[in-house]
Amino acid sequence: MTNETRKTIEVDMRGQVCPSTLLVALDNINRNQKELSSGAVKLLIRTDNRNATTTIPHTAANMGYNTEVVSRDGYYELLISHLE
Amino acid sequence: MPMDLAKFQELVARAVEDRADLLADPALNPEYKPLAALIDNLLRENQALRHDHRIAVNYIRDKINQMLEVIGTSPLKPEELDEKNLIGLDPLGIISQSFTQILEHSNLINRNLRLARDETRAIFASVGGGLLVMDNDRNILAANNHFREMFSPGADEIVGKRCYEIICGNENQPRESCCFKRMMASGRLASLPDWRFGDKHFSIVATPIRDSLGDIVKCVVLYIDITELIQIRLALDEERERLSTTLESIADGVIAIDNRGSITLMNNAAAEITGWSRAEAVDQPICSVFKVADQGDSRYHGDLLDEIIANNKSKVERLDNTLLLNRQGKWRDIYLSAAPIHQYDRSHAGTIFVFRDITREKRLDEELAKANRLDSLGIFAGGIAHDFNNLLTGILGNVSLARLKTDPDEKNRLLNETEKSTFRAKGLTQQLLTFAKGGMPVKKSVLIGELIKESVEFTLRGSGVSCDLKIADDLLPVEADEDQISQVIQNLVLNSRQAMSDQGGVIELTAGNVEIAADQEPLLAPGRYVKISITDRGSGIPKKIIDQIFDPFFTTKESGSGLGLATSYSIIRKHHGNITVESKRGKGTTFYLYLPAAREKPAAAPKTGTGVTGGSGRILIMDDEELVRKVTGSMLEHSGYDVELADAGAEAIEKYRKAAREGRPFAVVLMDLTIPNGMGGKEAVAALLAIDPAARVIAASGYSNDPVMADYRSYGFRQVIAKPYKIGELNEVVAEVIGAED
Repeated sequence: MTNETRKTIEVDMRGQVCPSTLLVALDNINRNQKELSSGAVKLLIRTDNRNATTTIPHTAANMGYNTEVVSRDGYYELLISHLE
Repeated sequence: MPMDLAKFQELVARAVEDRADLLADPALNPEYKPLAALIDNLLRENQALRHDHRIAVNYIRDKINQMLEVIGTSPLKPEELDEKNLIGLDPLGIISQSFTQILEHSNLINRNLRLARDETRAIFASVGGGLLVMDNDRNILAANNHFREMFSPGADEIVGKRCYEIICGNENQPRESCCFKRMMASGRLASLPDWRFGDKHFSIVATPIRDSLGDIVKCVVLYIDITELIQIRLALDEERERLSTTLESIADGVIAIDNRGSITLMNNAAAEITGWSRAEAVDQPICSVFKVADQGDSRYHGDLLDEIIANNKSKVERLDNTLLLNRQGKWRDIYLSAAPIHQYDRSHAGTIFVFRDITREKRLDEELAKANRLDSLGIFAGGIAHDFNNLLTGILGNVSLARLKTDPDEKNRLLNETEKSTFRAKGLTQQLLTFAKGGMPVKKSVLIGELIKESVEFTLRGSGVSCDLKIADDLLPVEADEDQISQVIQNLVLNSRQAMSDQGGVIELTAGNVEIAADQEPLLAPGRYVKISITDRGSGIPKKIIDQIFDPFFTTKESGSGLGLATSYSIIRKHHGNITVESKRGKGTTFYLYLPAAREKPAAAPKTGTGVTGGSGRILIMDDEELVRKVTGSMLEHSGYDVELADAGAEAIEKYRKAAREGRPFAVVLMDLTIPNGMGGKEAVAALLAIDPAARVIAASGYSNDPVMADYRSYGFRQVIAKPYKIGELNEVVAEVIGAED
């Protein structure tokens, strides 16, 4: 399975005096564009900013990525991967 | 002392704080004025720079927010990002890089959309039916060429018109059956299986297209021309109707099954013959409705049916010997033919059975055969009477001469002659009995060489015709009813004899084995056969009547019944054989007779001649004919036995009982099977065995073909003896029974 060969890059933005969650998320997407587009890696973002659960998936979708949002205890997990 | 530096510093700090000119401060020492003017200037420049910086930062922030808005997210809050971080994070770099990705992704989507559009166009043009795209107000947005050819050949552009202007003819109000109307009402796909347009038939399907809000904005309507299909269906219905009428009007039963053996079709005649109604029979397994068996194996077990169904290559035809067990539990004789049903690709799809109840015809055949036997008997009677009289002359003459002779040797010679004549008379009566036998045909494996010889001799007796017999030594046994085959030989030889006009001559008869290949001879299955050829040198059969000679009642002879050849043909076909004929005008005629060789060997003939000449013990003889009682008694007394006589069953039983009581029991009882107006051997033996289960009883009969004689043990007899018998035969049988262990 391709899933097994995938690497997950984790970015924890919880509790950060966050300049802007979306910009940091986009920065991470941009920096890993090649691997994300080929499906080699997934990006896991942890954030306690509720607004980000809307803005990140929306922008990621325009860029051709799929985002799964999971609500955890006091924070959210956003798993961004290549849109198959 | 000039104004001290500390004071000046204080004035500078206040001016900065109040954003006031230092020069305007009255407390300023005039000596510091040039310095104060420089400081005031620097402060004003600093303020202007700060103002410009704020404008730049605000501009960047506005542009970032504008871009974020384009991306589709909320603007940055000032507390989210201070000026320092704003630059440090490089949001413009991040966003523009993200834009690049968004653009790439959009390009990919566009490429895919263009491909999809091209595909849709190709489908639109090449689909087998007419396609119409309309908005929700029935305005035509697009139509493919098929649609134009179907509904508006040669017309101007139809896009922009309403559908009813093209199809239904300016009809503003759609009909109830209108697919568009029904699709709009239900919000789902709507179809119309058969819609007439002129002399054409169409099937229509309307499919809705919805916008992102789920509202129907367009629809695609597909029109498929099914005119040809409808015509084929109509033709098929007509054909089916014709077939069904034909099936119902024919007298033959017809049953069709699929390749799982389930009944799919059954006509009225089949329902009548089987006793099952069509409604009950359809979908039932064939074996539960159509129970057929071979006559030789008249117990139903489905083997015959399995055999027929398994033969899915060619037609099976059973003209005779096929029985059907109807629903009422009665066996019917049927003619049966079965043929495989093939699909268009030649694969096996089932079997069709056609059958006819021939029970009546068969009975009629049997009656015909009986009539033929009587008819033939009449013809033979003259010859037989002639021969019998000759034999009686021999017997009577020799006996009367013996009376006159005193020389014992001479007397003995004359008595030997008498005995010889008697044995020839016995042979003749045996043949007569065989010939006169009725009842059901019983087939067994037999060697027919001797039977042919006897039948020929019997038929030619008293005529001036002789026979040149050539019977192969290795002649194979056949599965046959001996009496029936004998009748056939007699009929054919009689035919030849009559063809030679009783003027004398020689009939040639040959019998040998042949191997018949598939399709070599009509009506014959491939395999080994015994072939008998009977050739006469008569005048031959005219060509115009040769096809009729096997028809019942067809005869060219004044005294003929027209049954001989018909019966022979019927018998041979029942034996799965065939008769054919070849004739040359003025040269003669040959009949060829084919009988299938038997798989089993014939049963061995019973052994004879043990050479016993006498014995001792008490013997009871029961016979209604005094002459027979006396002579049999005398023969046994001569051989050393103690004999008592009885004329019927009742007396025999009484004597047996009395002898037992007196302690002088009989060792053997000899019983005649047939006693007119009295208890015969069959009942008497049962009564005797009830008294003494160990009683040893021998059956004697003048009817050598009486069924009891063939199956005597099941009636309780120990042995049988056929009348007439010589003293030697009698002694052997009696001694065997006395000597046998219980």
